[in-house]
Amino acid sequence: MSASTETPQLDAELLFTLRLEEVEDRVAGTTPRGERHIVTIDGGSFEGPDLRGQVMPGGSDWQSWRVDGSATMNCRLTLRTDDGHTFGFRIRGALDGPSDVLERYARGETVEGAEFYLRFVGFFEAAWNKYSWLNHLVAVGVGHREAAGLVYDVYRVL
Amino acid sequence: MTVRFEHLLTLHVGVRYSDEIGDTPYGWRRNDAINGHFEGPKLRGRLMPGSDDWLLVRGDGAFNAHVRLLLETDDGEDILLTYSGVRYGTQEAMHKQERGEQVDPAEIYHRTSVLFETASDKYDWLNRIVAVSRGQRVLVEGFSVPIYDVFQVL
Repeated sequence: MSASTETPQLDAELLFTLRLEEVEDRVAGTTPRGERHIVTIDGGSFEGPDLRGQVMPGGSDWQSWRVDGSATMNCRLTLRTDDGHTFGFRIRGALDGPSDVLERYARGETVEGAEFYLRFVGFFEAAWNKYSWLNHLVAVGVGHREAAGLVYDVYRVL
Repeated sequence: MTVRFEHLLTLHVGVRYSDEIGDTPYGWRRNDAINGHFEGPKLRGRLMPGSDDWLLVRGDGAFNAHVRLLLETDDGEDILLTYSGVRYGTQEAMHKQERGEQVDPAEIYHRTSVLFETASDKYDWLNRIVAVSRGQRVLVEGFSVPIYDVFQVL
């Protein structure tokens, strides 16, 4: 319940733009959870006002695709800043949209952000260094696909 | 009623990439990308890319593994395996093991809970069992490597 009659607002601030290099999408078949895709992420970059660096090899996204074409993501990434600090980033996401757009996405084609719903929530895990502020925020990501790969604008929820 | 176990497979794991995060609010963290192989009476094969362990060393010195593995059987089926567990012993025994020296397995409690998920008809039975594992370090060609004996809870 809100204290006033005003409509509650929520704001976000850009943390960085995340670019992911998906090297392999292995379809592990249809399990009780849906069609499983193990997407290997062996690189990429992130760049924002306060932090920038690269995505380390060895990341993966364990996706579950439903019969209606929508999907969920469960991704673990390790990021390293340009000044040599490493932190973990856990992502849980959802993908939904018109079937023709989802088919294009599944084929690896370019998809604009406004055409479909590709969003995640994420949590960071950093050591006690200049980036430990990342431990105390909730991040959201808004994604689209460019010719070069998957791109997310990642925000801190204020 | 007693609980009984049946050996399902043995996992041999190695590290492809290792990134040390360091001391975080949860403990000391290291993220490893994993490879390796497994064999057992009913299934055998290798670990595929996308397999990783986000290892946590807690404040009490215990190691918590958070692992997910993509297994490819030798007959071409994919099996997803996730496990989390605890490795704990006296500080002396833990340090000895970390240095790569042989430690009596009785000195370190290293157990995990294991769950499977697969689309395979042949291995569909794995979707409906609970498994546990016992881990230990063995010397292979002079290197201390972890192996896990995984047991189905009957």
